[in-house]
Amino acid sequence: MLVTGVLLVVTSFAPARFVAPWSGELEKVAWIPFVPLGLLLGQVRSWLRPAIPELDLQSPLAQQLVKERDSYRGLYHAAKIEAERLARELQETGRARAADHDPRVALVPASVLALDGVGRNPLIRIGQGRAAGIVEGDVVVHGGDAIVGRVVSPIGRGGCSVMPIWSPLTKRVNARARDPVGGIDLPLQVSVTASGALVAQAPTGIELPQGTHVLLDDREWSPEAQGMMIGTVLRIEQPDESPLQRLHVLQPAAPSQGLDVVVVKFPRSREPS
Amino acid sequence: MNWVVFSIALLFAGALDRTFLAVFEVKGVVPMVTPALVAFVAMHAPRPTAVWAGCWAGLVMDLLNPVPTTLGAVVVPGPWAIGMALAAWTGIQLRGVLFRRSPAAFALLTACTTLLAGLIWTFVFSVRGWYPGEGFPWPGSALGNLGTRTLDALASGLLAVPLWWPLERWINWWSFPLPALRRR
Repeated sequence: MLVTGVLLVVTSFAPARFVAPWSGELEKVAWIPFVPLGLLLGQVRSWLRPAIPELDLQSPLAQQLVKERDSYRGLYHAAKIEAERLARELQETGRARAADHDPRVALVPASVLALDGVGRNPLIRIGQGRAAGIVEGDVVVHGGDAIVGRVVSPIGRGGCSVMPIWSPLTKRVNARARDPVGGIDLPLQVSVTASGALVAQAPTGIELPQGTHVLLDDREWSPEAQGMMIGTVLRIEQPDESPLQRLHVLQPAAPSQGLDVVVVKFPRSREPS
Repeated sequence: MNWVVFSIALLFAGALDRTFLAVFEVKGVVPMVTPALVAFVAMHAPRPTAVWAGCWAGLVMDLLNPVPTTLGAVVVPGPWAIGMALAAWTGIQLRGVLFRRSPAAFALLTACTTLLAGLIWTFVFSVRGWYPGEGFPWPGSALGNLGTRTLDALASGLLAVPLWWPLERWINWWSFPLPALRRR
C-alpha cells in the first residue's frame, strides 16, 4: 500500500509533459468496460435533458464573441453589397459591350452615388472620375445603349457629375428617327421643354409612329455617343403657338429614377494603363 | 468483501458519474455516485479493504476524467485516488460514531467523502497550476473551485439517500464481515 501511495503521489505531482504520453493510453484502456454502459446512459441523459448551449453573455469570452460576431456580420454585409454592386456593374458593362462591339471604345462602369442639382435641373453624381480617364463630354449610357447624359465639369479624381439628357439645360441635340421595323430614317432635333419633357421636332408634315426609336446623331457629342438611343416616340402633340408643327413627345430610353449603375464610354486610348 | 460485486458496482458508478449524472446539473454543481460507493464500503469493510477500494475507485475517477491543461486534456492518475483512499480511511474513523444502518448517516459520510476527496484534488491541482506551461483546470480561484466541490458534496449526499435502500437491500452480496469479527 505504501508503494502504491508513493506512486500515486509521484504521478499526481509529476508535470503533465511526463504524465500525458502514457496516461492517455491508460485512459483509453480504462474506458473500454465503461463504453457500452456509458453510451446507453448518455442516450438516456440526452433524452431526459437535451444539451442546450448556455453562454453567460456578461463573461469576457461572450463579450468578445459578440464583438467578433458583429464585426464579421458587418464585414459580411459589406462584402455582399460590394459583390452585388460588382455584379450589376459587370452586367451593365456586358450590355454596353453587346451594344457597341468597337474594341477602341473603353467602357467604365460607375455606381450612381446621388442625384444632385436643383429643381428641374438635375445632375447625377457617379463614382468614377479623372483616375479612370473620364473627361468632360464623355457619354454615359445605361442598359447597353440608352443615353443617360454627358459628363460635365468639374471632374474629381474618383467622381464626377453627369447632366442627364432630360435636363432643360441640355442644348438642342441632332438625332435620327429610326423605325425598328425599318422604312423610316430621317433627321430630327431633340430638345427639353421647360416642363422637363423630352420632345423631338420632325420636318413639317411628318408624323412618326408611336415606338419609333430616336438615336443620337450629333457631331457635338463624342463619337462613342453616336447611334445611342435617346428615347422612343410616346405621343404626338400640337403646340398652340405653332399649329403647323407636330411635337413628338419622347419616352427617355434611360430611366430618370432608380438608376444604380451606368457605363461611361470614351476612347480606349485615354484609358489609364 | 466481494471484489467482483465491488467492481460491478464501480462500473455502474463510474458510468453514471461520467455520462448520466450531468442530467442533475444545476449551475455547475453535479452529484457523484462513486463517493457514495466508497462511503458504503468504508461503513462496512475492514480498514485495508476500504482504503484499497477507495484507491481503486479514485483511480477510475482519475482515468475517466481528463483535466484541461495548456497541453490539452491530460489524465493525471493520483489526485482522486489519494483523495478517495484518505476519505475511506476517514470514513472508517467516523463509522464508530454513526448509525451504520441509517440513510442519513450514509448521506453524511458520502458528503464527507466527496468533500475530502475534492479538497485533496483541489490541493493537487493548485500545486500543479504553478508548473510552467500548465495552469489551473478551473475558472476563477481555487477557493471558488472548493466552493463548487462543497456543493458537489452536498448534492452527492442528497443523491446517496435513494442509493442507500438498494445497497442495504443487497448488502449480503458484498460479503462484508460481521462487525464483531471485523479487524480494526
